[in-house]
Amino acid sequence: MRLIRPVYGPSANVVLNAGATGRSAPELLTDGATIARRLVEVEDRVENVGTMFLRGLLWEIHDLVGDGTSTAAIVFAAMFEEGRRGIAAGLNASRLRYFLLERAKLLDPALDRQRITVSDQPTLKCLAQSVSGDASLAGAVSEIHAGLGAYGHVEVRPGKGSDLGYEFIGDSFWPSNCLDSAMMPGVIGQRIELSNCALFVSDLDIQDAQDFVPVLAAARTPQVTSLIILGRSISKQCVGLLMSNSSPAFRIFAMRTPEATEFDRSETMDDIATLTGATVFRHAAGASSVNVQGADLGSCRRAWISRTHFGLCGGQGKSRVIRRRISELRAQVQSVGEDKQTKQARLRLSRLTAKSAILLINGTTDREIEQRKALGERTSRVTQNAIVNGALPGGGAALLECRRFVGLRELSTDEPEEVFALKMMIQGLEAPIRTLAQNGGLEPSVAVMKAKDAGPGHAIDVTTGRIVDMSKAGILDSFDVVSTALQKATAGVAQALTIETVVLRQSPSKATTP
Amino acid sequence: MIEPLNDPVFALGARLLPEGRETIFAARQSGLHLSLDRGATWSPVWARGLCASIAVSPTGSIDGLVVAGVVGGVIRSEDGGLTWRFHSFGLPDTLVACLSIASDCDRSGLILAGTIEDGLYRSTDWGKTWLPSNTGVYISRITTVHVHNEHVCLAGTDCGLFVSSNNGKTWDDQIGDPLDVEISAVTSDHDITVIGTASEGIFAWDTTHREWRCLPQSRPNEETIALTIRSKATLQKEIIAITSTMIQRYCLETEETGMVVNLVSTTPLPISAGCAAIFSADTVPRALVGGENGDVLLVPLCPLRQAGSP
Repeated sequence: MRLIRPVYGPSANVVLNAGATGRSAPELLTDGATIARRLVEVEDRVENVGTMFLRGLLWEIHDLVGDGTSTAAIVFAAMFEEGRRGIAAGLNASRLRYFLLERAKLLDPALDRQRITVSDQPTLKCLAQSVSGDASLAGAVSEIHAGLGAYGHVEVRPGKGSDLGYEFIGDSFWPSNCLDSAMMPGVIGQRIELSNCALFVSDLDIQDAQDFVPVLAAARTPQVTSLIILGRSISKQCVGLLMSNSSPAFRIFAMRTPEATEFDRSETMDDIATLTGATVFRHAAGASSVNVQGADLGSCRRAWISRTHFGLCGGQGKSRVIRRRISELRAQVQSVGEDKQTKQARLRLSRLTAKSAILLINGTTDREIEQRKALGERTSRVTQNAIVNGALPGGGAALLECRRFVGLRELSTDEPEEVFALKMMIQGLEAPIRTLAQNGGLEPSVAVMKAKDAGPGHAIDVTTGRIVDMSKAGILDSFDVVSTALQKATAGVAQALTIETVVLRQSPSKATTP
Repeated sequence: MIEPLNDPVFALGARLLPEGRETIFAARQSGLHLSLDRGATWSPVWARGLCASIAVSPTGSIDGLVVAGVVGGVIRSEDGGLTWRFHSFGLPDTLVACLSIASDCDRSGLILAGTIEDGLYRSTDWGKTWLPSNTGVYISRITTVHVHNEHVCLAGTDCGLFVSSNNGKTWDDQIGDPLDVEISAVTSDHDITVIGTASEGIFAWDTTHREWRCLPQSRPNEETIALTIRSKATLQKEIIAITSTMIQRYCLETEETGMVVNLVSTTPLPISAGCAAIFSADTVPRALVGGENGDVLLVPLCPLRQAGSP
């Protein structure tokens, strides 16, 4: 907490990490998750267990929503300190835990009342700037996401020049590689452009060259000038067959079927088949290429392949079938929560609808580019999240407003653990605004009091020292980030307070790497 | 009316000249033709193959800019059609089926092109260079495009409508009935969007109820080939729609409860039309109608009268 608290907010300081070894360059850290990740061990062994517990919690939040780790850490610390005092005073830890978890259920509805829909570029820019603190990055990210909407995909890459830039990609593309490097001559980074392309969509192991002759025969029509074969693997014999049939007028490439897992591979093949009008030849169904007809091959107007991806544009699949598939996928994404399956479905949707962009990050050193890339990815993720799930007034205003709903519950109970649990929550909900004020050189209690007097949605703008309506001032937080941080912090405190015993190893090995 | 050339017309455009004269352009099977005498005689200005679309810079905008869609790209004139130059899209066999020049083109340079198989292309330098603009467009057959203002663009396809709110850089699809059909014409004016379909009639977007409403007596099974919206008075607009056999005029009023649309007149066309262009900014609005056998008809759009009255 001593490391994370100072980096909270726009007036925050940075933490300088000297590096794992004497030869590593020091790095400047500004977000809670990275600071926690870099912390490998503290000297006191019992304290170390607690630190690792919090570290794991913060990294879990980072994994889930990409941001909010500092908020979660500050809320956790405030609630945990208060909880320790209660237990020291004789309250029952298990009862306290129960009431904390029960009352945490009040938080989401309280946040939901304050939810703001965001989709226009200026509002997204404000939100992105709250996350990144970088106006030019916020501008680029907001323009990208305002154009792509809720279901686009953004890839962050190091740029070549000194300027930040971005590019919209109107192709559907997938990570893949050539099944045999002999088929892909040329330098790394080179892209081969194809036109009037036929596609054989499969996850077959292409072993017998003779079985593949029907595919070549089916593709050889006057309109087709290139052929892409998707498969799981290819024998040298088949490579020889394909290369001997390949010419400048009719180019042939064999690419690996995208995706690592069986399920994802199957879904991706269906997507490519829908876009191009192909029939899928599945290994699991015992399909074979022996009886391939011309109608089984997909087609597209343009395709391209590189060493890491392949893409297509102008797929000739039936328009209504494509529309139907996209509608089904949209319904799936909207109805399921934010788990790995939803994220994969969203990625598939971005590919089907050809909604992608590349954000090119600039920097003067490799370390700087690496840090800015991580910042760009975080900002992009949070911004997209906000389009899907909405935003909240920032600066701790939304959390302060939740305190009003928690306070209402306080009046209707006389159980000591329940009353104390609610008091702990109030402490936690006030902690972010207090920390922001303190980091900005302002008096925390005064900041809380003035914000409360000003009404819902108000908090202190630490850059000006004034109480403002946070939404109107453009200081916003992502709903998903705040909700997740709050819920995880509360659950973490509830669990931590019930830890009775810490078991330590007699001779632990020294940790060196994060 | 001129003698039929037996050379199908795919698109029409007109450019007003000083002293009330005008140049009419016809995109035909054989190429691009031009008439200086209101369609009486025609002369070819580009005869290197099929010409499928035409767009003329709006009146009052950049003067003399005419763009026509051909195989492989567009041809472009900066002097009102006297001289032409070909600008490639980079694909030798792509066909530009529709074009739209932004009303503020003299400042933005924005022109949109829709192709038969390669989606959308976009130029921001008055048609000199073109780049694909298909982020969000997953249907490659574009049937109609319309640049509403400097931010909003519309693209109709053979299965639905796509809308861009950032000058055509990215697009969102509009899903659901009645839009999963071929859109043959689209137009918009401020917050009113009207689409014509190939076989399902004409629809207008009702912003109050957030739904598409079928215009009364709009004809299913007849392709809508041209649409325009004219302002009549505050909260009142006129929609002019041309199908293959007639011209329909509607009065649209925006009320608190929603949109009210009434059919005001129906005028049969003397020819079976394959394409049309409406010039609604003129004092007396006119339409150019192209027949399937190559003839071109100039139709004045008379003052409105009630449907059914003589």
